Amino acid sequence: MTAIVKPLRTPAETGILEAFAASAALNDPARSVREAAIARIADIGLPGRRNEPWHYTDLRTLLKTVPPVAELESATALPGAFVIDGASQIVFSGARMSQSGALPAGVTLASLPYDAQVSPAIPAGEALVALNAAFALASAALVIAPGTHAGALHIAFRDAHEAAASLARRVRIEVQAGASVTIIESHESRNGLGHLTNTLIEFELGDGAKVHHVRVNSCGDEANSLSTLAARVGDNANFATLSMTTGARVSRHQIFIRYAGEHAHVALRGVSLLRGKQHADTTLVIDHATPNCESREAFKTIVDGDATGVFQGRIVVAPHAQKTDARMSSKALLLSEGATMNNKPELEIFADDVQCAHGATCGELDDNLLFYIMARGLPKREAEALLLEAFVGDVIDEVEDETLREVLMDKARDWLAERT
Amino acid sequence: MKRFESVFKKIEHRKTMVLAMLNITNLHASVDDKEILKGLTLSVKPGEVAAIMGPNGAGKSTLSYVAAGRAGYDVTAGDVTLNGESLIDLAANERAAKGLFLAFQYPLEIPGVTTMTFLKAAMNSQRKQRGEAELSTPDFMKRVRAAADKLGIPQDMLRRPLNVGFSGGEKKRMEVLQMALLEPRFAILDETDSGLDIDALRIVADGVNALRSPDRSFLVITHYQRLLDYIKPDSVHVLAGGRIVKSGGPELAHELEKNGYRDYVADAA
Ligand SMILES: Nc1ncnc2c1ncn2[C@@H]1O[C@H](COP(=O)(O)OP(=O)(O)OP(=O)(O)O)[C@@H](O)[C@H]1O
Ligand SMILES: [Mg+2]
Repeated sequence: MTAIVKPLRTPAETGILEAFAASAALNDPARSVREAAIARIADIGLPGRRNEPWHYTDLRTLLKTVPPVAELESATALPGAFVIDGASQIVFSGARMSQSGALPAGVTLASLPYDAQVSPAIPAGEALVALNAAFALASAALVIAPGTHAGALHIAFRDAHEAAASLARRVRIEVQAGASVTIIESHESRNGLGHLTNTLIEFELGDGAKVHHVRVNSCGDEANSLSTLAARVGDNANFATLSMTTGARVSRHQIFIRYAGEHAHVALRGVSLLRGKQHADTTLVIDHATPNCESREAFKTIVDGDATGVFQGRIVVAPHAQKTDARMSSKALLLSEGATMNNKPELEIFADDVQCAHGATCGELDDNLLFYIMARGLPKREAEALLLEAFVGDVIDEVEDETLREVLMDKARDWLAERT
Repeated sequence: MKRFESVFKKIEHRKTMVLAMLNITNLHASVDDKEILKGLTLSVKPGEVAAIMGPNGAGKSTLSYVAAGRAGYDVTAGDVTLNGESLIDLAANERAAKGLFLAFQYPLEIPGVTTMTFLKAAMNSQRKQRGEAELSTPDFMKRVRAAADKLGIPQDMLRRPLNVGFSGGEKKRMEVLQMALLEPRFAILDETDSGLDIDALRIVADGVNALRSPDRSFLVITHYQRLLDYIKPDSVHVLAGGRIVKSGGPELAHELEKNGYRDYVADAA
């Protein structure tokens, strides 16, 4: 007979429970929500290869230790922090949220106690969201009133701490009917610190709402960066996101999309530039629960050194979601012998009148092309950089805002320049 | 005055006799353990235009790749020198920076990189390796426009990704444009005439002729006498079975056009 044998706790699992017990700051009005969440983690453990969505990213072994919960804002500033000209800033540093400059009219920001209700786009009992519920010390709600064109808001997670810390935060963004906003989400921390960060961003798009979201993960080189992005999308709404990952030792960015209306358009894009011993996972689930919606997913990964990239994309089309049009692609380039890419696109289609396609490729730079470019005078690394820039540029070009496009291209070029 | 001049000329002439611009000696090269070049010897003097003709599969493109430094070819014996300096251990880009240019038989498409971007990267990269200053954007644009006009290349083509969707003839013109801008000391043209229409052939040949000068040489690989009517060679060589089996003047091309390679193929085999 098979018995359910609970595997022994790993150091990270023990560390999670200890960090929770040791933090006085978690003893707040949300305590009952936290306790329920930590009890669940104690029960199921950290997600690992036994859980299908975590097959390639085994947190039980990838996380080595769990640092104490950060309770205070860091005293020093982060050098060379990422700033976008012309965007209002909401800055999270440790457990503190601050805002610089006035918010545009029609935009309100409130600090909230943690509440157990999460976006309906998120599967019940999801592991990272449970961890977020147990540990989040900062929880904010941003509301964009109907019809407001809010411009660009920059939500910066800027952790200047000089010792490793556990940092969980949550931001809810409600974009009401006919409103539009550009959200820049950035993550930064110092190199050499094994932070454990957990971010939950939940979007709610009303009918006709429009959101452009750009996320930049430039965490320090030893950080463990866990992230959940959820969006529920109303009638005729438009949600576009691009996530660029260059930082963190271990990262997981998971995206859950659920359609709540018809004729909505969702575009999910990503660029991951990995080297050294980085492990970066992008996992997304798009739930086409309603008819007549479109989704486009385009992900590019460059893997160098001994790094590992993971892409898992699942498109689910419900039986009545006719006329769904979904296209997903994930392309990876491996630059070294030690580089690994796990590409897993999946379609689950229960409707018959749909257009769905997916493609995943994993290859190397074309030697013939490299020779051609080198024969014109470019040294090998520059020839590679030219091709790699074109490879990721193709996805970055889809970003609507020109300033953001340039910022992202510059980041990609910086990464490539560090190779040459 | 006059006497001095003639003395100088003599000295110069002696130098060129000794120092051919490109010198290929007893070159043996294999790919995937298959020997393609089997003791090829050829030298091209400064200002000379040498034509190479030879049957399909003889090793003409292989010679051009080995000279340009493509990876995957094992040079098992012999040497290739440019102005007395061996190229064999140099990377392809270093050879380019020293003034070697190869117009490809099959130019490659580079998705996502506009022709302009590519040209600028190539020109500045070579300049940098030679310790020269980068070109300013206006200076670069002026040069590109002038060279493109001469070759009948429309400006909007320069904004498209290099060679992507270009016709066969357009790709060949683009190779000559790159050559004109990079101003090499030694250019190898591998079947640059194939795929060109009658007018384009003349335009491209004019482009090459305009670059002819006493200190620049060419190795023109072709299957057809017609190109050599426009680009008049100083010497013609037959490459068969991985070796130069016959060398002569322009009349050799006419003879080949008439009789084919049958006399040489038997020899080489
Ligand atoms: N990777 C390889 N492995 C084995 N043989 C090869 C390889 N690459 C080329 N060859 C062979 O080398 C020979 C010379 O090829 P090359 O392209 O140099 O000929 P060519 O003289 O340029 O011919 P063409 O006139 O058709 O352009 C051919 O027989 C070709 O099949
Ligand atoms: Mg050939």
